[in-house]
Amino acid sequence: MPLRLEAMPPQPLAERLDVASIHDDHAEFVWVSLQRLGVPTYDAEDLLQEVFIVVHQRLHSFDHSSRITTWLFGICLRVVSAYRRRAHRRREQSVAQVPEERTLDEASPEQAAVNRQAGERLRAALDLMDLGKRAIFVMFEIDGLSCDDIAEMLSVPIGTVYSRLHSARSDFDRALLRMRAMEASRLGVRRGART
Amino acid sequence: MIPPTRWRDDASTSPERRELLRGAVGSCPLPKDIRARSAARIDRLLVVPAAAGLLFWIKGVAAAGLCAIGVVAAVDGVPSLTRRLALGPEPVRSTADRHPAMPRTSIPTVESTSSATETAISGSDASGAQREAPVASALPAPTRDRTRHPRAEAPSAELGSGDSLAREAAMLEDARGMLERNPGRALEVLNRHATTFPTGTLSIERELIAVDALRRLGRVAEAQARGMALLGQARGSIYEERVKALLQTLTSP
Repeated sequence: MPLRLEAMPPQPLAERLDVASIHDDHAEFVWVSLQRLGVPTYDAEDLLQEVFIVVHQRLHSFDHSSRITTWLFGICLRVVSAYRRRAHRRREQSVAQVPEERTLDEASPEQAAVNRQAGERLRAALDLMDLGKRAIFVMFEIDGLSCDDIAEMLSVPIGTVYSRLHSARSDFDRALLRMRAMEASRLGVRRGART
Repeated sequence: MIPPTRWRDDASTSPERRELLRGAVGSCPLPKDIRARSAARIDRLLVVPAAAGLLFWIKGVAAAGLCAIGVVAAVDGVPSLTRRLALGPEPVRSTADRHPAMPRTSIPTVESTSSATETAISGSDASGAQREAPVASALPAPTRDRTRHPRAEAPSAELGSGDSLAREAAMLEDARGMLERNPGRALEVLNRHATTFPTGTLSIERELIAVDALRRLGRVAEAQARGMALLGQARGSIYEERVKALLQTLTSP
């Protein structure tokens, strides 16, 4: 069942925010956003902390002109972007994924293997996408949020959500094409090595 | 504007997309333990500014203290340095420091030169601490007294006393140095001391060394006589035990 996050009502301008109350109200949102941006579970706790350190440092710059979730999502984007660059520098591969629990519809080990393989392909395709587009795509296609919810959460017009989703879908298709090309080239190399 | 349909529910979309998205696992909610840990870290984060403020306050106080010490040192040090440069080296202190083996209590203050021997001998409360008192504390210390300049105010008397004391000390130290190798020569030096300084400040020290020199020369009777005379002088003073021990070595075979 997709996780749905109810959008928070906008904060009154005069309301004074502090990092502890933001954490209480929005830690869940930050946590889920980090996952939507492709952070694996084993690193999500560290990045959650990083996000709130940035919140603590930058809270004075929040001018209430947008929703707090929009501001938090922007911070998540930057933190995850830096995380991806670090991971790229370390040449880390996301091979140590936490094994997913078997869902009820997995009737057999074969089905479980197929599902696992599909999950890995999906993750690989999403990793090839731009971060912002990936988030919109995951929110709509995987987490099942409505376009209205996304628009409210990101403080953007609904039309912008549609266009971003369209762009994200195109990006996803291109990512699938690239993956197919890479798989074909890998297979070609293997066949060449055998012959 | 028609809202888009999700690919996994759209029959017209490609099977590959549907297959990938149908098996996709959505984002999982934040576990309670991670939330609690994160909240605790946030609390600690909020303590940091207060701690940082305290740290900066301590650093400020330390810096102010160092500045104050620097100013005091500068104010105190510049006149002292100019005085030292004007005076040149301190002969008395340097002489005593050159001969650390010499018993330093035997050097009394210059102001009480005449009664120094009596004071040294009759001081019943003389202690080991007094024995170990540095020469600098017993001697006039012109650089320590910032209000008056001893050389400038009383140049002849104090300078002369200090010089004679230094010469006495040097002479006795020479005799002590020769005691083991050449006791006869040491005795000559001591006799010269007695002639030069008949009422010398260090006469008891001289007599002690003289008794030892006579013992080494084998003139035991002479040493005993001189020792007994010295014991009469040193009765009740810090020298009494030393004189007794020396006399005992004369009587023992």
